[in-house]
Amino acid sequence: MSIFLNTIFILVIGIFQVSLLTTWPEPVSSLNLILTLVIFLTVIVNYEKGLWLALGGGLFLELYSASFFGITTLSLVLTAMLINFLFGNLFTNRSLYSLMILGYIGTLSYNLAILFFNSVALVFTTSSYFLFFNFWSQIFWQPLFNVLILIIIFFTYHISTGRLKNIFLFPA
Amino acid sequence: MFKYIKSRPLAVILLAVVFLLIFLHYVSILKPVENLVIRILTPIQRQIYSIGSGINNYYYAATSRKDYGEDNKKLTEQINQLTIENAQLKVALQENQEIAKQSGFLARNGLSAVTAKVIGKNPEPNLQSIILDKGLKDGIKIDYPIITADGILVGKISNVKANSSEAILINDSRSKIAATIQNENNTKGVVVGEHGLSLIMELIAKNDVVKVGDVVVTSGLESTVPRGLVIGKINRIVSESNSTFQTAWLQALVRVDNLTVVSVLKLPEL
Repeated sequence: MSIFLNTIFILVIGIFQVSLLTTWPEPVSSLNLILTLVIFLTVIVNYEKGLWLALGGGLFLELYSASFFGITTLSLVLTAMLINFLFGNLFTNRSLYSLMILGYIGTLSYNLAILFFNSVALVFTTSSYFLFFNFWSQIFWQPLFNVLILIIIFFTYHISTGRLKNIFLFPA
Repeated sequence: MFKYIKSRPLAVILLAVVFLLIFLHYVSILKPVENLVIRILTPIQRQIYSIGSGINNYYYAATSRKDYGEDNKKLTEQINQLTIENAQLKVALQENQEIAKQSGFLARNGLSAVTAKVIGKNPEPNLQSIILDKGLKDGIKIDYPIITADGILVGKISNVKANSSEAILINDSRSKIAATIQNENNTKGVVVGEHGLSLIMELIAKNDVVKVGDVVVTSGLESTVPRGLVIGKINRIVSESNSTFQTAWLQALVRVDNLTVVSVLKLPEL
């Protein structure tokens, strides 16, 4: 049942990403919801759930991706691994600040991974795939929107689960 | 690092699964599953895309009305409210009208085509491509041109699956189309997309007289793209002294970011 529900969840956010978000004007359409949720699950909820979403969401995106098959999934899984590695070694708690920094790093590393794997794939194939890296869009706008959505998801999650803690200390 | 990987076997297993799936995809074992998933999801995606497109239309209408001033504010709000209420209906009506107009254009020009609905866009940033609900089973092949109701070229098919296909839009940086300017010399050139933002016509002979407002159409030099499909109008020309060619910026005659129905032109096999 859990696998079924998780599959439905992945399909819903995948369809939302491919058929709804992309219809909206730039830079909102550059938001990568699946990547955002992978980062959120990895940092805040559970690393293994993040990995499963990276696999499922990646495979869904492969169906509509112009890149070589596997590159999106591979980039998502590696991003989840990197985020978990950084979180385990450089950050102390599951705070909003950690999430925001890791959200930015995750988005950036995902874009660079896509670019790197496409470059490698181009060496071995004769495809006419066009390597393209828009500095402002991929270094600034997409990470910014992903971080904004991460903040919204963070508060929604904590409010809905009753886990929101006081951020500031109040005098006794 | 080794210790880190060892303590996380799931990540290693999933990486192995990814490589296995890549292998299965390239030996075509996964293709039936992929086609089945796309086939099942296409009707849902078509509806979701229509909703998204309606929202985008509303946003576009709302933002372009900002300049009308305070006097029209109340009226604009009413129009916006009506736009929201009728968004779904309008999208459906627009789709039907597009289909009817496209059939008329094709009949007049002796062309055959497959009418396809847009079900999504490529999720990768910076790539301007749309996903259509028709594929190999409908006779669609790579490089077939896609047009709107009035015969305006909006892109070319870049990838085909059994029940769906992907088309690169003309404003994508990967798009290159052999074109002719409708002037005295029928000047030839190549129209390329510029980062999804605009269209540029390159390789225009320097001696040819080109004016702002000239219409650019397909030249027919490509075997899969017929001659005479409208691409856009010239709105700026740059001619540098140290270059042997001129460059023209084109204004597209249709918004390619909000297409809902297109026609894929099918050309007779040579």
